[in-house]
Amino acid sequence: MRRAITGVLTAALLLAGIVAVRRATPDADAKYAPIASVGEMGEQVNTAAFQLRVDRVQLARSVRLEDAYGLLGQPKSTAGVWVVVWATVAATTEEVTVQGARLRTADGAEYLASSVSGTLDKTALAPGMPSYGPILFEVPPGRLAGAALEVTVHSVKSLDHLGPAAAVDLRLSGPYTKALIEQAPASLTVGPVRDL
Amino acid sequence: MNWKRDLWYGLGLLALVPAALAAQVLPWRERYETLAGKGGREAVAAHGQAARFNGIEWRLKSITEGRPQDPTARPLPPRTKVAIVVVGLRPLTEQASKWFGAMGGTCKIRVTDAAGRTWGPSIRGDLAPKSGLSPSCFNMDADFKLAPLPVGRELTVQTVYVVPADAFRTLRVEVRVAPEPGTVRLLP
Repeated sequence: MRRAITGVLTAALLLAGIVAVRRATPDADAKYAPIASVGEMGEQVNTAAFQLRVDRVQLARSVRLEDAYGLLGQPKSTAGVWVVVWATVAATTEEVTVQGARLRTADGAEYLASSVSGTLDKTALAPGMPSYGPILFEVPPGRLAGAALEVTVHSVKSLDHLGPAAAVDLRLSGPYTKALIEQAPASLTVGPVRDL
Repeated sequence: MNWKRDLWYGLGLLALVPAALAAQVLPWRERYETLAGKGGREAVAAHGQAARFNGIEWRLKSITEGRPQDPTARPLPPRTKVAIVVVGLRPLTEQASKWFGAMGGTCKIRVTDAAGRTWGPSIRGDLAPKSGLSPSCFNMDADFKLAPLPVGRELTVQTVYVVPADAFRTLRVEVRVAPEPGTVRLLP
C-alpha cells in the first residue's frame, strides 16, 4: 500500500514538474524577440545598431507636415488621435533606418508608425550623424494610457529576430493622458527631420 | 580500473560535444554571414599596393575631399565632410573580364574609419565635379550595354561619401564582391 502511494505521489510530482517546465518555456515569439534596451523619456537608450532619445510627445486631432523647405502639406485627419513622438536617433556603426517604430498599448496592442513619409522612422541614418524629428502614430484615444514606444530597424517583425531594439516608457499615466487628449489641438504643424 | 575507462569516456565526450556543436552551428553561421554581407575570402592591399582578388587587381587611387558644387543645393549635415574615392580595377583573367559585364557581378564600395564605422555611397550627384568615371564595378560599351572589360584594361570607379569630419582622416575602402562572397580592403 505504501509503495503504491509513493508511486502515485512521485508520478504526480513528475507530472507537475513537466507542466511547470512547459509553462515556463518561452514560446517562439519570446525566444526570438528583439534584444531590447529599456529606457525612459529624455534618457539615451543604447542598442547595438542605434542610439535613441525620446524628447517629447504631442497629441493632435489632425497634423500638417512641413518639409525642409518650409512648405506645408495637406492636413491629415485620423479616426483616433495623432501621437507625435519627437526623438533623436543616431546609427552606431552602420547605416540604419528605424523602420520598426511601434506604440505598444497597455493591453498589448501594437500600432506601427504611420506611413506618412518624411518622418524620422523613414530617414536613413548614418553613423556619427544624428537626426532629430517626429515619428507619427494613429491610436484610438481610449487605448493610449500606459503606451510605450518600441523601436527596431525593420517594419516586418520577423526580420528583427534577436535584433537590436529600444523600449521607452512614454510616461503616459491615465490622468496625464486624459489631460493631453482633452487639450489636443485640432491641427498641429509637424516640422521636418533635422540633421544635428 | 573503472576510473581509467571513465576517463576515456570523459575525453571522448569532451571531443564529441564540441564537434557536434560545430557541425550544427557552423553551416548556419556561414549562411548568416553570407546573408548579412559578411564572411567569404578577404584580400588586403596596403598603402600604395594593389590587391588581387577573383582574378582582378584592385588599387585605391585616391581619397580626396569634395565640396557641394551647387551653392543653392541642400547643405551638408553639420560637422561632416565629402570624401571622393577613386578605385582602379584591372581584370587579369578571362573569367574576371566577363564579371564586369555580368548582371550578377556586382560590388558594393564602402568606406570605414578607424573606429569601425561604415558609410555607403551618397546618392547626391552634386558633391563632386563631373568626372565621367564609372559609379560601380560594371563596364558599359558605346551603346550603354553591359560588356566584359578586356583583360589588362583598367576600369576607374569613383564613389562619393558624406562622413563625419572626425572620420575623414582615417578612412579606408572596403569592397564587398558578389556573387561569390568576398571582401577587398584597400588601405590609403
